[in-house]
Amino acid sequence: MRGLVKRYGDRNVVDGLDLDVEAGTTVGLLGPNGAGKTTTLEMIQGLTTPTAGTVEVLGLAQPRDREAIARRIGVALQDTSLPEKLTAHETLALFRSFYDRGPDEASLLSDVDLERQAGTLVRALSGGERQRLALACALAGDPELVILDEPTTGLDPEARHRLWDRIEALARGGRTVLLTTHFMDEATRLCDHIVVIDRGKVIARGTTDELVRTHVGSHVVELEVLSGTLAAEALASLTGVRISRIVGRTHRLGTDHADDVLARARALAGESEATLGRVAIAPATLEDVFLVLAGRGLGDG
Amino acid sequence: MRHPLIQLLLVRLRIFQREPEALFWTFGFPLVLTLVLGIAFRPIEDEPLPVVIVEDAGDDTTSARLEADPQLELLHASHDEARRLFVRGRALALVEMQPGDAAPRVRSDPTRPESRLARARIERALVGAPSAIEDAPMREPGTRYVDFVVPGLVGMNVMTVCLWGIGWNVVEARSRKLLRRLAVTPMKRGHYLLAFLLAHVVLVLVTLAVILGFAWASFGVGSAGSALAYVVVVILGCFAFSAMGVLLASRTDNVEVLSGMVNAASLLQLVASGVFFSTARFPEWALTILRLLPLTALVDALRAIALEGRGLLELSVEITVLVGWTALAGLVGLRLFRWT
Repeated sequence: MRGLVKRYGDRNVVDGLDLDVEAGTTVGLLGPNGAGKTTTLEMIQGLTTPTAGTVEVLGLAQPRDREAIARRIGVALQDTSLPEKLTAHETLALFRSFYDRGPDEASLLSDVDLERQAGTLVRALSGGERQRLALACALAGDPELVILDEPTTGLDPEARHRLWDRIEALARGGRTVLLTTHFMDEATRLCDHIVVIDRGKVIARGTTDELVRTHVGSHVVELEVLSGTLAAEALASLTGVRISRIVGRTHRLGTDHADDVLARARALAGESEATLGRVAIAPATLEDVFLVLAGRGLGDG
Repeated sequence: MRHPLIQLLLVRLRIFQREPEALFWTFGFPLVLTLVLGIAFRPIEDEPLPVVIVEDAGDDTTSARLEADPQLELLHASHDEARRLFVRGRALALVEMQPGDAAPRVRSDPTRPESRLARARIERALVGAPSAIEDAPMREPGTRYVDFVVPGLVGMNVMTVCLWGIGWNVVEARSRKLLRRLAVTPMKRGHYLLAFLLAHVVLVLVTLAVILGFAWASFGVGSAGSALAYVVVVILGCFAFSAMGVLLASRTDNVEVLSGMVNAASLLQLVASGVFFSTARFPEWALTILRLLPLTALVDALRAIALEGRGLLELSVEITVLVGWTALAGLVGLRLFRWT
C-alpha cells in the first residue's frame, strides 16, 4: 500500500498509509477503535475504494483485479455471522464452491478441529467453534494470503488459545497472514511484525522486541502512590527513565535500568513525603508501547 | 419528573418517536389507505350500477327501458364480451334476450350483494314491460366470486413470497455482514441474486400448485385457458416482484426499514390492484396508474387466462408491464445494491 487515503465526509479515516507485508510472515495491525484498521483491510479486500493511493495484493492491483485477488486470499471478518441454519459442513461446501481449487470440506473441518461438529448447525456452535469455522471458510480456496479481522474478539481464553494454534499452523505452512487485534498478547504470540496505526497513520512498526526496546525500554517500574504527591515531571526527569505516564494513582516508568530507577524513585518519594503502596518491576509489553505511542488506552477510540 | 412511571412512559414515547417505521404505520399508512379506499368506494349518490346487455338482443324496448333508468349504467356487448365483463366484475348483471315474447334472461351472482341489487334494479326498470324477467343465476364454474378471487390470491401470494422472501433475507444477510463476507470471495455476485430468484420461482410454483389444487378440490375452480400460459405469467410475476424485492433491499441494513417499505408497497397494491374486488370502482384517471402496477398486471393476466381462456399473445399489455418492472426495478436495484 502506498499513500493510502480513505476520506469519509471531512475526515480521513486512513490518512496516507504505507504498508508492506512480506510473503510468508504474520503481520499484525494494531490500533485503538477508529484507528482505521478495518477500513485498511476493506481496501485490501476490495470492499472499499481508496480516495487516494494504491493497493497491490499478490502483484495485482485493487480494486481493478478484485476477482483475481479474491481467488488468492482468504478472509475472516470481524463479527461475520455465517448462515445459522446451515451445518458446518454445508457452510464449507458453500464457500468451497466459490473456488477452483482448495481442500475438501472434511480436510477443512479437520484443519480447524471441527470434525465432530460437521453436522451441527452453525447456530448451535459455541463462539470459539464459529470463529474456527470462519477460519476454515477463509481457507476454502487454499489462499496465499489470509486476512483475519480481530479473530479472537469475544472468545474465552481456552477458545482463543485453540484459535491461536490454528493461526500458527497457517504461518508454519508458509502462508502470509495479516491480522488486526486489540490484544497485545495475541500480537506478541502470533506476529512476526507489528504495525501500529492511529488516526489512519502508521505510528510505529517492527518486531515486538524492537518496538518495546525502541519506545519503552526493557522494563516498566510501577509505583502506586497511597498518599501525598509524587510529581510526574520529577519522575520523568530521573536518570534512566525513558518514558513516564500515570494510570490512576500508579506511575509507570519505562527504563532499561529498572533497579536503579526504582531506587531513585523511592528516594524521590521520600523527599516528597509521598507514601508508596504497591511497587513492582515488570517486563515492558506491547501495551506499554501502544500507550506511549498513541497517548491513550487501547479500545478508547 | 423522577417518578419511575413517568420515566418509563417517556422511554416508550421516545422509542416510538425515534422509530420511523412505527411513525409511518401509525400515522402515514392509515392516511394513505384511507385515501386509496376513499377513492375506490367514494360516495356517489344513486351511483349507477354497470350491467351489460347482449347486443344482438333485437328487442329495442328492453334496451331502451334499461338505458332510461338513471340507476343503471347499460353496456352493450357481444355475448362473449358481455360474459367477460361479468366474470371480471366490470358488469354486475348480464341481460340476454330470448326468442319471441319470452322474458329477458337476467344473469346475476346471488352470492354478491351488488349483483343482487343490480338484478333488482333491472327488474324494477322493466316493470310494465310485456313480460317479466327470467332469473338465471350464474352458478357454473368460471362465473362465481371464488373464480374471480382465486387469481387475485395467486397474484398476492407471488407478491408477498418474493418481496418478503428476497427483501428480508438480503437485508438480514447485510445486517449480519454475511453479504460483506461473500463479497470478498470470488463468488459471482450475480449468482447470489439469481439463486434467490430461482429459489423463489420454485417456491411460488409449489404454493401455486397447493392453492389451485385446494381451490379445484373445494370449489371446482378451474381455468378456461392454458395451464402453461398461467404458469408463464406466474413466473413473469415472480421475476417482477423479485426485482422489486432486490430494489427495496438494495441499500438498507435495517429489517424494520425494509418491512416498512415492503408493507407499503404490498398493502397498497393489495387494495388497489383488484385482488379482492374489481378495480372498476376506481375513476378512470386512477385506473391508468393502477394498470401500471405489477400486481394489477399479474392479476389481470391470470384472470384473463383463467376466466376468459385468453392466450399469452393477447396479454401483451400485462406482460409488457411485468417485464418492464423486472427490467426497471432489477437494473436500478442492482445499480444501488450495497454489499457492505
